[in-house]
Amino acid sequence: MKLRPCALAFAFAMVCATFARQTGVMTADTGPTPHPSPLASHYVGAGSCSASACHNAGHGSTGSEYTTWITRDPHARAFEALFNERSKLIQKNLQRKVAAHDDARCLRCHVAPDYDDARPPPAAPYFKTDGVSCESCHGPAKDWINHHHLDAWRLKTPIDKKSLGMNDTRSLAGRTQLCASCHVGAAGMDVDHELIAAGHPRLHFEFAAFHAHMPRHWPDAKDRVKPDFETRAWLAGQLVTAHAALELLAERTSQTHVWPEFAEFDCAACHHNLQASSPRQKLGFGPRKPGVLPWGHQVALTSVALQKIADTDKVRARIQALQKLMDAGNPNRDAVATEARGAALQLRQVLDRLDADFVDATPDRELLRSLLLARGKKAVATTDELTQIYLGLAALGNKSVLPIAAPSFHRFDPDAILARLSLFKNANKGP
Amino acid sequence: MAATRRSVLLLLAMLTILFVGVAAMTRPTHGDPPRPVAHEGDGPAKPTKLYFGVVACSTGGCHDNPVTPNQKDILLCNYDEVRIWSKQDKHREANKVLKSERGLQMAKLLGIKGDIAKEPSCISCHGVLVEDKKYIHEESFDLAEGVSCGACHGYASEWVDQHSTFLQRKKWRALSRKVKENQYGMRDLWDPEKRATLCASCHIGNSAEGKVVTHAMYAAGHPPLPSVELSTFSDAMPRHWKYLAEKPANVQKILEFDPAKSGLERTEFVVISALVAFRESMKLLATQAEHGAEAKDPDQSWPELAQFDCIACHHDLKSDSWRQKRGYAGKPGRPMMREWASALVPIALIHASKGETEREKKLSKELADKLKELTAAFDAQPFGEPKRVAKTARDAATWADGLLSGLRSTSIDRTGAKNLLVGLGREARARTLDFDSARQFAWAFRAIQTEADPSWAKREGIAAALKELEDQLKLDFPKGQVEIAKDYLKESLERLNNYEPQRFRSAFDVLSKNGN
Repeated sequence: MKLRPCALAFAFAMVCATFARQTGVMTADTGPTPHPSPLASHYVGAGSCSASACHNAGHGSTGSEYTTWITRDPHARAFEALFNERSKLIQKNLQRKVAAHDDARCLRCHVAPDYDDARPPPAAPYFKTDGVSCESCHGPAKDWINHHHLDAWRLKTPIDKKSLGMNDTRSLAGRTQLCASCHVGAAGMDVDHELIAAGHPRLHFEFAAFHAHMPRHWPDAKDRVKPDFETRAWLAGQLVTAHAALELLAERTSQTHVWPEFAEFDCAACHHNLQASSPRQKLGFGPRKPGVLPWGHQVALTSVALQKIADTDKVRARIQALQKLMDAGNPNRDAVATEARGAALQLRQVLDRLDADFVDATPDRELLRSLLLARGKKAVATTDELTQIYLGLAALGNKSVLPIAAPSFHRFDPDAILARLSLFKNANKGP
Repeated sequence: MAATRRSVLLLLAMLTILFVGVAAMTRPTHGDPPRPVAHEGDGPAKPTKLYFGVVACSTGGCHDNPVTPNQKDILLCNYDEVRIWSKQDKHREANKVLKSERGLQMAKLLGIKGDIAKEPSCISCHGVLVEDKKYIHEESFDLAEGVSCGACHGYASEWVDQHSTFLQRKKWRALSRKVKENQYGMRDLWDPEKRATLCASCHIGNSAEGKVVTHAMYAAGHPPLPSVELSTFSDAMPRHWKYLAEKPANVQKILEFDPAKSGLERTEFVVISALVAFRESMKLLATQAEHGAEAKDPDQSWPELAQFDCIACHHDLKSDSWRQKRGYAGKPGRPMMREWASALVPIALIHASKGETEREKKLSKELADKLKELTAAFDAQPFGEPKRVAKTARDAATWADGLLSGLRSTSIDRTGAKNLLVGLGREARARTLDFDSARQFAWAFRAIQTEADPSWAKREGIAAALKELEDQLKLDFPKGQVEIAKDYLKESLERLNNYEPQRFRSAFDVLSKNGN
């Protein structure tokens, strides 16, 4: 039986809340001074947020964030997952000496990105069992929990807040980046091929569709103050995800990592049952030589995403050069490292030029849909690229509930996929 | 014209008969092109290349004779070889399939601009790679005839001329198999090791002879090369020859076969060809890895994915995977080499150790060590360390070659065959066999058991177990010259994709417990 320290958390939350109100009054003007100790020690646990007067007000009420998360959000089960049979199998196949729920390699995504078992946070008993909880995304709260409900807090800039440990989850750029750190991966948070072969589900991330599917614990109306949220979300997802993927690729070229890293490539290109008559062969391989591992689904649509943004020649050229390198039978580690870093840097510069909600960069939704559709039809596309197109089109539809799960595309059947994609032709219809 | 030719040949033959000497005692090298050797009498020093067509063999009432030959006449052959080959053997269609829909698709995807039916990388197996056009016999040679007589028996003028006339028969037959091969260019296919090496050159591959199926070819549509148990594959051709034991006594004598001293020929072929398959696979792997490690051109560099286990990657993704439950020999997610080539080596070790338990243990340990070194070389990094792969594979090939040379004059009797069958059963129980290895086991068991005791199939439970194995592994081949890459490929790949090691083990257990 798994115990959630509910009672303890509740008591702790009450104490915190009371304390917060008192200290908050005292320091309302300046807030506490950030101190240099490791962020990991700044966690206070989800229990600190769950007072009914704070974020646990019950479904539908203002202040129901914790309620929504704990009852409906799969992120709340992220730690529990580390106890299941699959997690045991993964650890066994990887010959890891510790159980998944004690393994920092797992906990950095299944609890919090800066989890480090070399210096376990003092608040571990509270926050580790919470899984991906409040602070995993919003940031370690010790230095802001007592102030963030006060009026003075609202006057702070995102940079001020960040200096106290609170992440920017409000802007699309900030939000996407947080998601991407686990759902795409980063240094020390890498779902590589070894982990997948051992039993971990592979990653495939499309922000707009995933975002629409997540049980929302924030007001939708706030997201929609600026125009055309879905298109902006798609765009933010494409660019930030591509950036994260490029940085991860650069990371994977380091000498400490195995090379080539198979998780970079389209899973279904290799992982399909052998067929006597293959639709891949009928379709051809485009510029790739037959039998070469196809790369690039996370950057496949970058050029579509960049269409309304000025001065993007350099980043496009870099990505193209990288694509060419990765399409070689045996991509050269050092050359890929240089090109991936270069592409990531160029894309970072583009992202830094744009506003964090991508208002000015957003293409017309209908145009975007038709471009994606055309891309899906024309492409000598991999399964992963078609899935990206599918999820993008799904997110750009006007349906309130969007299908997160693409139909099983691992059986590559371009005709079936195209038939499926064509259902998106009408703006208000999804499959 | 023919008459003049005949008289010249006659004269030559008579002169030769006068000077027939003792065969040169040099040990033949297997798989290599014939070398000039100290020649016998006034026979040719070495054979002259001549690429001839099938008509050279079928004409004149020879190998396509509709009349049953008179058995009183000593015939080494059956006079129906070309007929069997041309009407039933798929090798006849080897070149033609290059022009099939699949072949044309491959040409397109591989960017082959010219005629695919003449493309060197294809015809090295799907026909013959002509070294020099000046050796072509223009009147008869036709590449479209596929893998025809000369491709296996040897493209040389001397033996074709010498063996084919009534007047020279006596002289020709007096020559040893070795002389026929080395001086006259007739490949000694009676030698099981040579025969197996020849089959393996295409069915497994041989870099030196330009017979290599690359991963690009597979990706473009070449059917996966299946595992090969050559005694079974020979029967499926169907054979246009008889085993020596099936021949009349006088023919056996000419062909240096003594039934009193000889054992179970088919079983011997299973064992020899199992070792040859291992040796040739290791040689190919070593050559490909050496080549890939040194290549500057990224298209040529390692990994050559065709050298890896297809099924390590090519399986649908599952949320409930037997591979993950089984665990991995090395790091998860690193493809290994194909397993099947070593699958039947343990029975060769049983034969090689001649009932000495200690020797069998020693040899088994040697094999296990070789395979362990190879696994480590493949596991060291994704796609393995090519130089280490090359070295360990080369070592394994040398080891197999050493074993083979020790087996050259040995034979297997019924007791020996029984030991092999018991060994197969034991191995199958102890290991998790992949699809290709499971097929090797089933084919080998069936071939050995049938020869040791043809009545075994009538025993209780055997028919059902065989049917179950056929359902799981598709052990039988379609008869006739149907395109193997159509229905048969589809059906066998379905079996491959649905294969479950545990199910195979149960069915095979029934065979091995009721057999012997």
